[in-house]
Amino acid sequence: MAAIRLDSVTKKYDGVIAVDDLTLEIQDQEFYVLLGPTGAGKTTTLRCLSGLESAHEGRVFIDNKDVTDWSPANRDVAMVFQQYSLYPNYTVRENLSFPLKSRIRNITPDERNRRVEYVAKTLRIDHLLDRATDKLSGGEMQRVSIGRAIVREPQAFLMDEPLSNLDAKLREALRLELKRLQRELGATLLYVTHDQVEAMSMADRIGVIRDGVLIQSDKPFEVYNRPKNVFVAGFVGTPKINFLEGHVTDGNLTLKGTTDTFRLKTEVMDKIGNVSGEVIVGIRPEDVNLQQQQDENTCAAMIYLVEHMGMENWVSVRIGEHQQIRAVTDSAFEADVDATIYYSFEQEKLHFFDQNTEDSLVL
Amino acid sequence: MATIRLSNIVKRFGPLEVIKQLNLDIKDREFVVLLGPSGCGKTTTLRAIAGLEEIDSGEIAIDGQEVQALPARDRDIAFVFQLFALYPHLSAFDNIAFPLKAAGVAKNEIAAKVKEVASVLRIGSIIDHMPSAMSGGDMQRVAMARALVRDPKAMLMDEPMGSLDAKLREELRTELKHLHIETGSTTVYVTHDQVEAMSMGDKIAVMDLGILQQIGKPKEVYDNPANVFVAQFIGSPVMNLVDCQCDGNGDVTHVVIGERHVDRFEFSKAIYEKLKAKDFNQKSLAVGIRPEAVLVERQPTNGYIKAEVDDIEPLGPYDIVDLKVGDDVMRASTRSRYVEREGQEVWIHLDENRLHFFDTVSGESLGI
Amino acid sequence: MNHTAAPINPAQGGLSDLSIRNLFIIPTIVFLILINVFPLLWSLYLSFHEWRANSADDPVFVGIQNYREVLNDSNFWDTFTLTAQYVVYAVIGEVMVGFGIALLLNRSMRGKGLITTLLLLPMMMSPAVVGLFWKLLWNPSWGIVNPLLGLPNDFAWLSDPDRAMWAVVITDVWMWAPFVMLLSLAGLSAIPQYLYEAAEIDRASWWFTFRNITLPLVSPLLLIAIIFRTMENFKQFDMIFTMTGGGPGINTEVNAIKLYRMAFQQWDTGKSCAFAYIMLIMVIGISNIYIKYLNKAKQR
Repeated sequence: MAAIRLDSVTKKYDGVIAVDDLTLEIQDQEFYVLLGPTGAGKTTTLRCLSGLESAHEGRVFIDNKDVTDWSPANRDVAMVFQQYSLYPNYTVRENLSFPLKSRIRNITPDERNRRVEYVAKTLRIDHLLDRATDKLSGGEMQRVSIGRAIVREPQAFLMDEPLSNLDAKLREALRLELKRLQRELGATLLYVTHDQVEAMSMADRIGVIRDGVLIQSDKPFEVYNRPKNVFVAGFVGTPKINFLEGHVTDGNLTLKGTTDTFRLKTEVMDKIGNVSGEVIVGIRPEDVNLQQQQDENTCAAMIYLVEHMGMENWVSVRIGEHQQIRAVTDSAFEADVDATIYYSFEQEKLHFFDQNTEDSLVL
Repeated sequence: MATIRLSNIVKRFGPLEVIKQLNLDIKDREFVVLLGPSGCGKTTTLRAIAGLEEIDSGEIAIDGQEVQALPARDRDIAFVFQLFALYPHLSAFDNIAFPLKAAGVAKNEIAAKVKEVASVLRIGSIIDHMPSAMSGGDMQRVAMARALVRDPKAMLMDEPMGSLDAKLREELRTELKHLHIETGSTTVYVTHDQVEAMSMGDKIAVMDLGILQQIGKPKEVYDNPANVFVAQFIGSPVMNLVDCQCDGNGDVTHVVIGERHVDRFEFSKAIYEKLKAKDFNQKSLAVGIRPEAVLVERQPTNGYIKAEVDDIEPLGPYDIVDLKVGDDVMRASTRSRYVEREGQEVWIHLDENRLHFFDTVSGESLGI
Repeated sequence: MNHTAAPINPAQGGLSDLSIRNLFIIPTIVFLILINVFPLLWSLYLSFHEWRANSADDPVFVGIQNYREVLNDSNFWDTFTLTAQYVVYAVIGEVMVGFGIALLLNRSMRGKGLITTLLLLPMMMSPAVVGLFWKLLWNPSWGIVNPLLGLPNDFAWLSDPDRAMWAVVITDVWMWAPFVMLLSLAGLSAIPQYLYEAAEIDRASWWFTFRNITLPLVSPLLLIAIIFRTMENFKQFDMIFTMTGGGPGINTEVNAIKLYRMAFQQWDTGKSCAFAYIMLIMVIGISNIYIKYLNKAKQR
């Protein structure tokens, strides 16, 4: 397997910038997830890497070789798409051995069979080898697609939302399997998705991309706990982080549209360089505390909705005119709609963002 | 608004029985979610209530009146389709106005009603847009508005958020549930997404293979699943299910898992007595435990057994950790970064109050 | 952003993509120029000249005189009016019959494929053959039409100045309604079933659904059918020619037949070229109007 590097890659479609001066380094044997909403440029990035698109500017390196002008075939990367793209009239075995039949490769039939069977076993589809692909379930088809990528023993794997056509349970299972497989093969893997759960749970590192710009490239924990801007904070995490506009004066945070004021701890103020003025505050639902009694540093809110999630409850409360805050509580929490409740924040977990640039204010 | 009652519904597609003797009672103003995997018969059930699908036998009563012989247009229910089914050549306004126009309502009254429902759903700004120019969320709201505008007896929804992305679903879910609380319309909602079911349903009806597996409040279904299917379908990550053997030893109950018979969890003797009362079959018993009820310690702890960390999935607020115990793997959810690395040794125990026991032959819960 | 179609990899040796592409395209272009573009330009050249194709004289340049003569000729306007009538009647007939059959066929039923194929047969025949056949059918004494309609055997069709046009229109409808049916069926079956379900849930009646869902959604394809049929009928020749030869008198002498007579019976080649160009401009004009409507319909 090989390391991958994109160096200031720019790609335009009809003058519209899809990928904007993107620099990205993926280490050998790394599971790297490119995460972003539809149209963020993640698929384009992947395609520039594979050679299916040529970048307008910038260089692409695979295994430290400049492959910018190479054809996809010569780059020796394997792709797995959202659609299974199997040859429908062939059996699983034929589909798997197809990439090995290419003239360039020169692989003996014996070697071919050996590899196909090894891959089938690894993916637990060995019992399906002689079945036609149109008789397979979605999960099996996607396994075969992945198998077809593996069997070539390429330099790197590029995967474009390979799990998004599968149902939730299967996705959960295949997520685990894919991660295990990547470890076993020691594969360099670039994985594109819009699903933050996939990104968080599988990635060694996550690159969050929007409008063709790579915003943050970090370990999952860092992305979750130290998001670089409002977009990253909002994109990662379920239930979604709460954003509130507020005003900081003399270490007091007042939420906009309300009289709710919280005294911020000195450590918190130090962390954001004793900022004052208008800010955007981000607080994850699990860091919002709800209680029945009022005490210092809590403010009143009205229950909007209680959602029972089994292991926990998600409680939405209303503050001021029409702002909402969501909190995660334990599953025993009960309250009526419109009842009064008191809320406060885990102050260490507050995120502060500049109101204009939306960048994090944490130093 | 109205009650809906299904009695002994049977529906066949050719030789295949897709709904088998289904009984379901939905109270006035209740929000019932039909939950199940694809092909379980939930959508067919919903379409049967709507009159879009004829049933082979059984009765459907809306507001006490039998309707199984009536065509859809005479049942006075609203239906929100998975792909919204907006009329592509009509603007948002005309889409919402469609059922009113079809009923011959006067023009100025139509305008007033559409305006009112549009403001409830906050789609006033896109009221002149064509469906092709709308985002998924807008389309969903317009479809909802079209359903609500004529005050139907009940709202039926077929995976209305299936084609939206996760963030939007989360947002719309809250909105929709709150709307239901405000309007109080009797609602039947079909989904395969257990999170949607848990968060929105007053009651969840879990279906599989055309059979109603369990119906109850979300918390009941989560805390007391009737069988293995329900237990594993609801809750993410999936409930751990491990074959086990139990025996009572004076003051304690032992639950032994794995082939090696060395990994034994110790519980109070009450468990064994309850098991005995249920006349349990030693050979076909499985213990079920939700990942959040698996207790993990980093140091050896009394009564805990040793396990090895196989995989860590950080999800943000917490981590999902795969633990190898003998030949079995158990998933636990732990505080973020509580477990540091793969291969680490930890000690685990199971929360006694949250144990489930299942008969592995029938799949039924022993109800303990 | 999901592009599925991957460009073909540059091959390792041999021809490049570009040269393969050219290899396929160039013969087609040469062929097109020879049989299409050259005659078009040549006839344009001739339309500004006095020339007879059966004479040995060289063409004499006369400017726009040919065009002026054609446009000032009152016969020309009569022919044009007649043609317009024929086009309007025939297209209306084809659409009503074709769309009606399509509505009947647009459901799942046994033998639908067979019925559709049978209904399409008239369209697959040569118009000249259709013309000759129907000439027999319309014959008052031994044709089958009169007995079927219970008319006396001296009830003339093709030789009656008033009825000849109707006979021609009916024959044309018989032949081409299947074409409208085919396109309408395609349009109808493209309307997703869930829209009808939604309409039923919205408590719409059949007629309301037809007016507000079916018709607007099928209209783009219906318009395409109408464009095709209008243009085709505007230059209709062989069927009418074999059936009536333009007669009786000039009662079914539509543009194309008049043009034929001018070009190959009177050998007035220059003038007939001018006539042909006037027809071409008209067809382009009419189809442009339709296309404008079509685009409007498609935008929705």
